[in-house]
Amino acid sequence: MPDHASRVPAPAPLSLAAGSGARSRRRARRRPLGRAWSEALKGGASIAGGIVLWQLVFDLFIKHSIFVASPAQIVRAFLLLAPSGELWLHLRTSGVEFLNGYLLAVAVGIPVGALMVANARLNNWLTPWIAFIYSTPRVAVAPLLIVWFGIGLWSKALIVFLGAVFPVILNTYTGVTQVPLNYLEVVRSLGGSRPQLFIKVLLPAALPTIMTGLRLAVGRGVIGVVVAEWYGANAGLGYLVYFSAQVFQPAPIYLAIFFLVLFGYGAFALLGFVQRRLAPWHTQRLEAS
Amino acid sequence: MPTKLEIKDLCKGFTSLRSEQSLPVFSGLELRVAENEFICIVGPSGCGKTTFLRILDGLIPFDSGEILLDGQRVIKPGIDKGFVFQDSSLLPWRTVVDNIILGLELHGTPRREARARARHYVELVGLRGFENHYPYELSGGMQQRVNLARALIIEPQVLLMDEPFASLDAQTREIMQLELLKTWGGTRKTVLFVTHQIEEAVYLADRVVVFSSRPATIKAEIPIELTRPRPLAVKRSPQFLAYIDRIWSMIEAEVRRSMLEQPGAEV
Ligand SMILES: Nc1ncnc2c1ncn2[C@@H]1O[C@H](COP(=O)(O)OP(=O)(O)O)[C@@H](O)[C@H]1O
Ligand SMILES: [Mg+2]
Repeated sequence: MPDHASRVPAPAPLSLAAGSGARSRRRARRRPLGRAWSEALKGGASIAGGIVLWQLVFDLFIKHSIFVASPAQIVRAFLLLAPSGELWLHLRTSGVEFLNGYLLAVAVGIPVGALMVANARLNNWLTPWIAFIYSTPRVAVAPLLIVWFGIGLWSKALIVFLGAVFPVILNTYTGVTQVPLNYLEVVRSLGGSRPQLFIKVLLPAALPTIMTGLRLAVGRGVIGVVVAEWYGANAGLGYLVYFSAQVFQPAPIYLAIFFLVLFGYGAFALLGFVQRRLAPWHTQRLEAS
Repeated sequence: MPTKLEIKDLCKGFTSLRSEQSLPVFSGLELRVAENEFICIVGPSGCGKTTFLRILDGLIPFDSGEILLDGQRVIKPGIDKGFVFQDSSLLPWRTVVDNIILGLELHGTPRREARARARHYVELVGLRGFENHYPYELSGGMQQRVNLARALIIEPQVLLMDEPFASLDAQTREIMQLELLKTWGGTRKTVLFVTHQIEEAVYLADRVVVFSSRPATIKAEIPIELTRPRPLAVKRSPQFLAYIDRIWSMIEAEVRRSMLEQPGAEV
């Protein structure tokens, strides 16, 4: 590992004198940004090197394959699929399936997780179901769902939903149960009502944990889209993978994988950004200590 | 002085999980607090001081007896009572000013108006310039000042303070005591202040109430006749030291007794 020690940030100056808090915060934010750029550059160079190597190995040793595609072939597949609008159709189809299922999972998961803390009976009643459904492999039930709900949008969205909803429920539940009791006591002492306890304390305190759940749900949702489209679809990135495999065309598979990774990574990073924005106290408290 | 708060024959027990029987914390506690009086409660650790304040605030129920605030029964928490908690209980996702206005916000005061009113209290506890800081950016002393401001802004009838300075270092603690008295001089609330530091109790109080070990009864009530305002130097006066000696000897006996009764209990 090259020169690991130099990447450890120098300890930020700790000062509580009036006015210096904001300044040192700004400084602390600027420095990692420069580091992030240089790290992104190094990462980009590393990936570019890998791609070149891949192309070389392919040209020198493989030359022709129905299992492996070279970077150039993938680019060619892109140039073939993109202008006709076919690629866009796949992207849009998968994107819409994902978004519907994912947003539904968020809309259901957060209230359910929160209510399970508020209501012990609901918790007892739901827990075995959650454990049961969570343990059911989606790959196994996907064909059934498609038979039941047709090959349109909603069977796919449902499979995405089934994958994404559990991290949301479980993280919301965990986040809410881990809220320090004295925060609740403060609001109670000031005469706050039960709904206010939820809105003013439990949700904001649990927010970082909930956001982590939303991030974990992205990956499971993306897998859901692909699996769902394997079993019956006429468009989508998962369909593109399946169809291309059937006709022994590896390049579009790689293309689809590329976009799936790009999408999953993008959504994950975006939510991480939102998390830091919504809960600055959470990350900054760690930095400060 | 008219009576502000009256506690009559208060009984409270906690059911322990193991024995399934209720072990008394209070059996027949009586206390009368006058309007604008500053009461300090001292007593051995675990005797029920926190429990007492929580009952007065309405946070936990009691078994029997009566608690009257201005002649009215206390049943639930509310903004007629302000509670300053022992450990930092600031909400970490709220800035200083948003922590201070929490009570107003919960009772429907528009944010703008609440923030305007907060200005006075920010000033009062000496936190100008820190309104938009987050709690983690504040020192322990500053955090406790926010706690105090949060309890003061709702203009409570009684202020209940549970060892608010216990976690501060000695110097900060002294400054906070001085400032608390200054603030109190301006607002003149009825205060019940729990501490395990006798010196702190004598310095702050009009009257020091000594709790016995559990089940707690009032072992003594000592009026403190030191003139106000009290500079910190008063702590070195012979009169002050005499109070300390007197109260310490009472507590010592209680602590010994409770140690003998519950071997291994922290003191
Ligand atoms: N929720 C509770 N359940 C059972 N016992 C409790 C509870 N809260 C406090 N106690 C017990 O009541 C006694 C008084 O506690 P507390 O009021 O915190 O004491 P102090 O503040 O004087 O140190 C202690 O022995 C404590 O163990
Ligand atoms: Mg206590």
